[in-house]
Amino acid sequence: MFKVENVKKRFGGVQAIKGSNFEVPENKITALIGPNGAGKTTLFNIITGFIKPDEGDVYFRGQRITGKHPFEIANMGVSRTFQQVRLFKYLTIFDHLRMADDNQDTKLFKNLFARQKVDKEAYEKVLEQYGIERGLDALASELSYGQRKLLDLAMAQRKQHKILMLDEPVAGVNAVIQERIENYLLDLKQQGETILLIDHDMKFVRRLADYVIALDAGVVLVDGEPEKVLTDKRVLEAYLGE
Amino acid sequence: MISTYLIHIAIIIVIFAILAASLNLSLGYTGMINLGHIAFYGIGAYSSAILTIRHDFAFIPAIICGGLIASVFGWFLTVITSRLKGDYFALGTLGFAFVAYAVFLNWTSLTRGPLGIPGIPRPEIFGYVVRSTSDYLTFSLIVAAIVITFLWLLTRSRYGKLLEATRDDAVGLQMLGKNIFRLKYQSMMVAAFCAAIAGSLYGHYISFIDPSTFYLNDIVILLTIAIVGGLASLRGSIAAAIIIILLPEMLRFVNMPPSMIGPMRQILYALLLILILMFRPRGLFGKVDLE
Repeated sequence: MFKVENVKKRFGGVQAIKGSNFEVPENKITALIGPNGAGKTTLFNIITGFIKPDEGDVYFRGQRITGKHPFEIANMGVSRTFQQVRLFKYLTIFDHLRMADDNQDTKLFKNLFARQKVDKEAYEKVLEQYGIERGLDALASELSYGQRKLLDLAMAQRKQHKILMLDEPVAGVNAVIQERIENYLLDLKQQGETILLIDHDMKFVRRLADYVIALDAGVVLVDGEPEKVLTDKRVLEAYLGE
Repeated sequence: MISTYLIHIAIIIVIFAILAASLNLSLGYTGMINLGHIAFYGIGAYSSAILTIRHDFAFIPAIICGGLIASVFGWFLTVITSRLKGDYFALGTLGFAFVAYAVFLNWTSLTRGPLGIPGIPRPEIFGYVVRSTSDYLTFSLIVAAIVITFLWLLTRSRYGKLLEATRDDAVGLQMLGKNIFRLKYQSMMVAAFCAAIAGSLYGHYISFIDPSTFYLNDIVILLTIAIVGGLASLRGSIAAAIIIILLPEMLRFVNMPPSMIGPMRQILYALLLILILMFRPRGLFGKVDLE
């Protein structure tokens, strides 16, 4: 699905990514792990076009996407959530879900006189499906952190995509919501979704991932089956120190 | 006499309501802290005046051309400020207003500079000349109704929600596949078009324009209207235009030296802004916080 080829990125005096090479397989859950500062989120930002690499290339289904704008990459079928949930605080849950549905809303004059026939029941079902407890008219700013995470996930999943990229999907949420998100991701796995996720919770990664890529200082230490990667001496050293 | 005076005030209110509502599109709905909106007002007034006087354009084509010219400048302003954010963007747009003022003042072969352009004709629509002040009020109200209805339809549409999302979190919106640069320049172009219409209405009403009309003083009035009315609220812009234009008029009936009226007007605006920010930070009808 994705191929990251010799990607390097420096921020001032810090070499954040020293030359990453890896591939993300299709129809599997791949976990990107590594200690803080390993360059996981930087790689996510490079893949989705928010940061340009100094060197190297990223390919999506064989097509080079380095240098493309984030919205272009999103429209190619890359759906992503962020570590800090990014919602639109003065818009309602309904507005959020509708915005994720399609790109018809970008047409200025077509929307001006468009009559808005909406099957609100279908959207209510989405709330139920994701366990979002507030109504469609609630503002994003009124939601708790966990509920915002669920809405963020619902939007990423509703947006037409070929891959879901989730940056710490269960970080900072309570055990109930964590279980809800985990079960939801397991369902998606069974449906053959391709998911690339970042997480620090190794138990969560072990339960969910089919394939794990361990990074340290922006370099791939080891990749492969979860059991192999999570017990690798180099990975343990990177997390715990020598 | 009094009724003529009141009608004059009403026309100015209507013009500023259009101007403030259009500013609210870029400032309140799209989150672009645009301090250069007054330049579009000036571009509209000058374009329409020059086209009707020197090129014999009829009023309607002249006002539309004025809007289109301002829209092109709106696009240009968005392009040159596309890498600026927050305060820097605000300063960039303020710089645009200063540059526009400098052009109005110094390109004398086009604008007659500080001498201004006199003799701007009253609008003629399908053979009918809008000559009397009361007719001009009716005419301005019709134009305002069209412009504000257009802005209302736009802001309540799905497209309008996208503009609001651009204001709230442009990064998140890009991952939904939306081109935020396009949304921003479209918003600025529409706002500029509407501001230019207000400028044309002003020029053809007063029949004389000079650069001083499109400078700092009017930027302050316009921003005060937008903030007092509240961000992302068209009815707020209309209500605040009424209050802010009427408020200093009351000074005319207070016994004070004429030299004091100007500074008192500025003090009133400042006082009102401070009170609003202290006790009603969202303004009269605002939907979002002033950040």
